[in-house]
Amino acid sequence: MTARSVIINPACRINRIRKLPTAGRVLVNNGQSVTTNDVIAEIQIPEKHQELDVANALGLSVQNAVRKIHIKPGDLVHTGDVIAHKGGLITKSVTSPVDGRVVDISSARVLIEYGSQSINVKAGFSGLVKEVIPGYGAIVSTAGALLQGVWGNGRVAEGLMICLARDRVDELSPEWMDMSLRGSIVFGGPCLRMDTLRRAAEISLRGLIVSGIEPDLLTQAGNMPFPIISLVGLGRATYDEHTFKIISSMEKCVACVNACTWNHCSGSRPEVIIPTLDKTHNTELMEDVEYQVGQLVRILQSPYLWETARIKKLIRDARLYPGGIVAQSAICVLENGEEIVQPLVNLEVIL
Amino acid sequence: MLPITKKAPKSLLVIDIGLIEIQTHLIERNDDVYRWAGVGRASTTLSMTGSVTWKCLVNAMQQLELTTDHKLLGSESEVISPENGQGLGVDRICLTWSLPVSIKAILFGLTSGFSISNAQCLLEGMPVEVVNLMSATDGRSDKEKMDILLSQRPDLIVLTGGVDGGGIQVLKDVIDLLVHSFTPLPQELRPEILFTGNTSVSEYLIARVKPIMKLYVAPNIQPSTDVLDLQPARETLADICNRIWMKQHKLQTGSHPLKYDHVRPVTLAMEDFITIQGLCKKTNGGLAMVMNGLFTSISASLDGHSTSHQYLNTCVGLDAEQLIEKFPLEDVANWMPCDITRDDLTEYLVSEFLYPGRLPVTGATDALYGGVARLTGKRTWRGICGKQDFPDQLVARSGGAQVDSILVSGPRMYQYQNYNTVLLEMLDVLQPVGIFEVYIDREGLAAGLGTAAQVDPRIPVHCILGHAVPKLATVIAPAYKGREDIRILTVTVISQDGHEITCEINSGKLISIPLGTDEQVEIRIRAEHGARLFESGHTLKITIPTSGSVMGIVVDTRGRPMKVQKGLRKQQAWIKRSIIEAQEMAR
Repeated sequence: MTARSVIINPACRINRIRKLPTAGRVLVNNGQSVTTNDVIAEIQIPEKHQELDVANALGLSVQNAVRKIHIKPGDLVHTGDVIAHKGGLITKSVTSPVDGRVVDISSARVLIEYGSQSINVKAGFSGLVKEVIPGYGAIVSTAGALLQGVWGNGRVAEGLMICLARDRVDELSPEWMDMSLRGSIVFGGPCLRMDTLRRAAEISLRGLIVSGIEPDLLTQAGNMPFPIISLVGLGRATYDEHTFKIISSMEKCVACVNACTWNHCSGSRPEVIIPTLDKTHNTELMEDVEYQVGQLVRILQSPYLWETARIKKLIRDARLYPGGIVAQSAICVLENGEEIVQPLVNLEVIL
Repeated sequence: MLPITKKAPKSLLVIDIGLIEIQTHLIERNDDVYRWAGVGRASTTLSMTGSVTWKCLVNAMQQLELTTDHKLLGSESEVISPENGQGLGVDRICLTWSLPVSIKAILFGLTSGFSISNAQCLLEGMPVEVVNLMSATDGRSDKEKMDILLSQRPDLIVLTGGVDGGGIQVLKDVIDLLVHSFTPLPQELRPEILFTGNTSVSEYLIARVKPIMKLYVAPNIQPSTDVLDLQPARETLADICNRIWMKQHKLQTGSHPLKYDHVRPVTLAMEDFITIQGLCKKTNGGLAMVMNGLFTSISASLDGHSTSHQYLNTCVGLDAEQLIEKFPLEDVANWMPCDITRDDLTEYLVSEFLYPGRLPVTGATDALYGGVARLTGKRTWRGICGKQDFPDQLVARSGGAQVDSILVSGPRMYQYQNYNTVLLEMLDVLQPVGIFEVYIDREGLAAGLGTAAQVDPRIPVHCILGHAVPKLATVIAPAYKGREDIRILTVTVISQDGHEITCEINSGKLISIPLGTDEQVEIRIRAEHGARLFESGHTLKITIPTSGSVMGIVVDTRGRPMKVQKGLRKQQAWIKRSIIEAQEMAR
């Protein structure tokens, strides 16, 4: 059976496609090194419109005003350019208030589009451009630790990683955060209080990685100016030993945080990448994986929600549970040695 | 009318791609009769670029090969087609999907009232997220509208309004506005336009829009003031959604692109199925309830018109906080047999938000699942009742369903050992009134058969008549609002050999009378003490023929509408009693 999976891997090769939805300008070359916030490709599209009522401005009828307009649809105009002019004893002019392009003229009303919004794709982590996709973007590659999460607030950043999680379960406390953390990426336990987020903003953290985050705080976390990722779950989720060990061993390394939202439909998932100098790692596991004996799994259902275990045995026949559910299941051994039985769909394999 | 192909296929592969699971079904023709041969299932997995991985497709097909002993895949994992020998390959491939893609739509109507609400009806149950509503009369300036159109970057504009032959100038202005808004964008960022308004403006529309954007013109959904016909436009909309879906999920098996003959969104496929089932069973409309916890959906069909609704539209990017807000503790607690805390509920909702499709393994999590599923189901039913005109005829005065047949579908059908829980959940949600048949889609085949009807309408017909979707129960649920524990029904079952069994049934009960699968019986029902057999009229006695089914005859005398008991403890006790009674039925 194809398994749900998450990558929490201390050493792997990571390739990511960074691509625009439409052809634009690619700003990188093959082999170029890029950092997290570097723009790989971009495209500019117009943002706003301005409508000018020429008849009203010149004090003329619509019919007469139309004759005074000097521009036509498609023309580029700059601020102060004369759009329409009335001569005579009392001259009047209508000028463009913006730099833009004339879109339409009807009933002596001139519509100008102006401004631009940029659609761009960023590298999301430090690495090398492996391959340029002409007009659209590039494949960026690096090697290092990869930690995929469950929730992100949509921001990206890169910084020195500081681990504030004293053990796997301690809540991240605002009292632990002082000005020495300014500009760093902080790893902590579950974030359960608004004070913690406020403190993080006060001292201008570069990024915040937590094991869990209280659902009530998600809106505020979404508005924070720095990336926030919840690695394990929502609420009082704590680190498992495997993840905690990786985090603890990476102290003072540079971490690249791409806190994109987890989209089940598009496959994108928030992730922290900690590049390393050793480039000999295998490629990350991208193919579907099957459930197998010995795999480390995260349990996704109460009463063992977010705990990790190892698959001891795959049960051949479907198992019946108290509520009447019948499912393919596995015997798993929790970190405390307890054996439990869970349906396979309630297990996420940690790769 | 559904098309009939000249050359009937000998075999058909139906692929149903859901958010959690891919199902593959094989349908074979033997002696000019189609029959369902088996199912294969695999978890849906997506690549980093968002497309369905070929491996999960292949897994589902390999499982189907094992269960049917029919070879589908070649040496390079390509689907062998057409069928080139007994048990090798398939002639046709159909696809149905509920795995959502992000299709953002802006509804643009002529007026804020009728045009917009008609367009909303049109999009009901379609895999589309409505990001804004606009109309020519909404008070916003053209500049403001153009700014919104640019900033929201929709994938689709649904333009409606005006009756055929009505004034066209305002519509022309709207068309100009759309053209001006999107001309500056690169081709790939321009939305597609679906026009379903006054046909008199079509010529102008085609001349202005077609050169710069993809344009679809469907028949006017309101050709005159007293006619609202959504079906043709829904078909066009389904085609648009299919195309966008296929673009996102470039399906492959091995290194070969998956070639298919027909594709259909699952809601429309389900509507097709219940329409055909209604024709086969000669019923006046039917309902299908796809039980899937938070993502429960209901489809209704009557006289060839159909609609669907899902309370939590899977296309809309919900966040965990919104989810918690939508399911307050007091509302969920009313549908649970035991206490829950706010923390339990929050934990359940956020973990379901992150990992949909998990299974409840303890009594407590199962109760929580059931409570949330009932609340979602009731809101879905309320949604479908409020959105369209025609389902009014399917709704009893008590607010429950009033139909001749109900299909229950969804993953719960094959995840549970027996169907008592499923039947109880459906009865609690729809609270149907009268005497009706319940069918069970135990293999998740219904939507696939709805899509297969595009290849040949005989395929679903043969499978229905061949009991691929068997009858779960004949349910008798009288309209009753009185006290509990009073005798309100006398049911006599008369077998073909004249043997009679009589049951006197008090109010507030849920009981079953088992029948053999092939048994043909007559049921004589007498209602008394304020109970009526149907919602409308005063029918107190009736004799009807029925046949055996999985659960036989089920009598639900818990009243319509079901009373919410005063006080949480009493309500919990009432829910608990219903669950126990349902479990007893299974025994």
